[in-house]
Amino acid sequence: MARTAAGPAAVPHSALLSLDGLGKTFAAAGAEVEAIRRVDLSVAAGEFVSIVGPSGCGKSTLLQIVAGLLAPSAGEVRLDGRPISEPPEGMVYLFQQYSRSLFPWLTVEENVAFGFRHARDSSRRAAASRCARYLGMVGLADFGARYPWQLSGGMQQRVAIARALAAQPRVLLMDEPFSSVDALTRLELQGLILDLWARGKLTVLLVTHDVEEAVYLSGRIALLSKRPGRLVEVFPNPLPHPRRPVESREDARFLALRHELLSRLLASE
Amino acid sequence: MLLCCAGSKIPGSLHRSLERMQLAVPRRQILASAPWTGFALVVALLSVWELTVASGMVRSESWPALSRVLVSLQEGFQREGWLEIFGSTLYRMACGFSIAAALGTAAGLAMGASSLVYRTFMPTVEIFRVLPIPAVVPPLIFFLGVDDPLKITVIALAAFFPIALNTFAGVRAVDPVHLLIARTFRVPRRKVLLGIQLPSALPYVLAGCRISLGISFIVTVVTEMVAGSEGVGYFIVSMQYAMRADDMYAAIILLSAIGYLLNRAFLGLEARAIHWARELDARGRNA
Repeated sequence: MARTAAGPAAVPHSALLSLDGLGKTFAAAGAEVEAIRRVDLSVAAGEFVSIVGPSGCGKSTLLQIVAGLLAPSAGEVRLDGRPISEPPEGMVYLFQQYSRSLFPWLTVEENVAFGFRHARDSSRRAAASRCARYLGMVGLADFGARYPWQLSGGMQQRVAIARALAAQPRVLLMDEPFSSVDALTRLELQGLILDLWARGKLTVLLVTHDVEEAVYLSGRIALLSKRPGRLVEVFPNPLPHPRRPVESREDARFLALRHELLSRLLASE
Repeated sequence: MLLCCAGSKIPGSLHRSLERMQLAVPRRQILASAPWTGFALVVALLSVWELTVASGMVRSESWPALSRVLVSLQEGFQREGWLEIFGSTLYRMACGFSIAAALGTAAGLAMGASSLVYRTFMPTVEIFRVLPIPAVVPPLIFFLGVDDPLKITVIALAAFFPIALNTFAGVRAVDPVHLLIARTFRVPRRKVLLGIQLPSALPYVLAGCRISLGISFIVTVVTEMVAGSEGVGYFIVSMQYAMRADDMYAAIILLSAIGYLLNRAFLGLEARAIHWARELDARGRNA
């Protein structure tokens, strides 16, 4: 498959999510720090796109702007063609630090319900069954009455995933969601996210520094340069679905793309 | 201890091995973990009190023996009506403290949530906070008289500031990630305040309440001493005037016991209300 160079021309009108000339400059201690510069990217409904780049390249900043949590200095983000200024409906941001993102005074079930209870006036019973459904999806059906701090790190991140999905977003934004769990748990959670993505009409934008994770999970991979982060290139991923944790990682196409991305990343350091 | 003293009569190698056995459970640790040392000191101090009189060391109307005070204490339930005296004191204290807890929490939340409220009220709070509370009693008597309205107002005023300032600090200390979570789930402002900022500030709120509980107890007794004719404060002063030292000390002992129980009860309540915060501390924030 041919690689498409990134550029304003590559932004189709049918995109669910589009980033146009996005830039962000922070004022820090009198000096201005440019975090990202002129990023253009479009994501179609149902896509799984990853953004990789060297550390400090502004990946997280970029994702927070997309989420509507941070205002850009230049350009704009549009969801369904409408510019985003505040977190829009139908989009949820999944944080890296599960230990800080769950509320310790709420049970697991109450945490999951927190994501959607205020949105619609749902009855208590409907809310309970919705919580149970999403907790079941992440394999925590029996843990609703526990508190987050009674669970392992991987289980806590599952709760955070269940909470995000229970809000029934169309777009899920994930900022290095598996970077603070152990290696085996990371593989499990990656499989879980792929399953959840495959069963619904979920669109996922993932920020990660882990090239293997990006290649294993996503359909396209956007490579950012070092600071200020610019979009270097968008790589389509030829790795076929369904993906398998062991076999897919030994596939020649996986290895080739990983090789390409890693060498580009190392060259840009 | 015995082994150490007998050490010289024991062959060297055995002595060393016994020392090693002792090291396994250091004596200091045994003493530190013993629950009775604190209680023993209280008993010792009370015994000294009793002995100073029983031995004839002190002969004074104003220093009766502990045993006589305890008899007065027991008889006082009938003769003086402890329940009524302490009941009226605790009632005033509860009124003042409840008002302070409700208003203090609300004010702290408002100052924490809105910088406009904070900038508007903080200078006033700073001025009133440093004022010694007994100083406002005389002017307030002009407006409120010497009975419950005065006392409850003064108690509430004294107990208000620690609760308000602690709540404010707690709201400010909310984890910024929690607030980002609230934004990404589009949680309405009112629910952020009551559903996230208030519960996460609760350990601070309760710490402020515990300080204020002690303050209300003190201020209640002080106001009873300076104005009106009810409650323990008034009783203690009256007994001093009447040279009835044993009744005076009996009231003070009861006061101390009630203060101790109030604090213990509040600690128990606090531990239940914020069990999650203690668990979190025990496990480390990033566990």
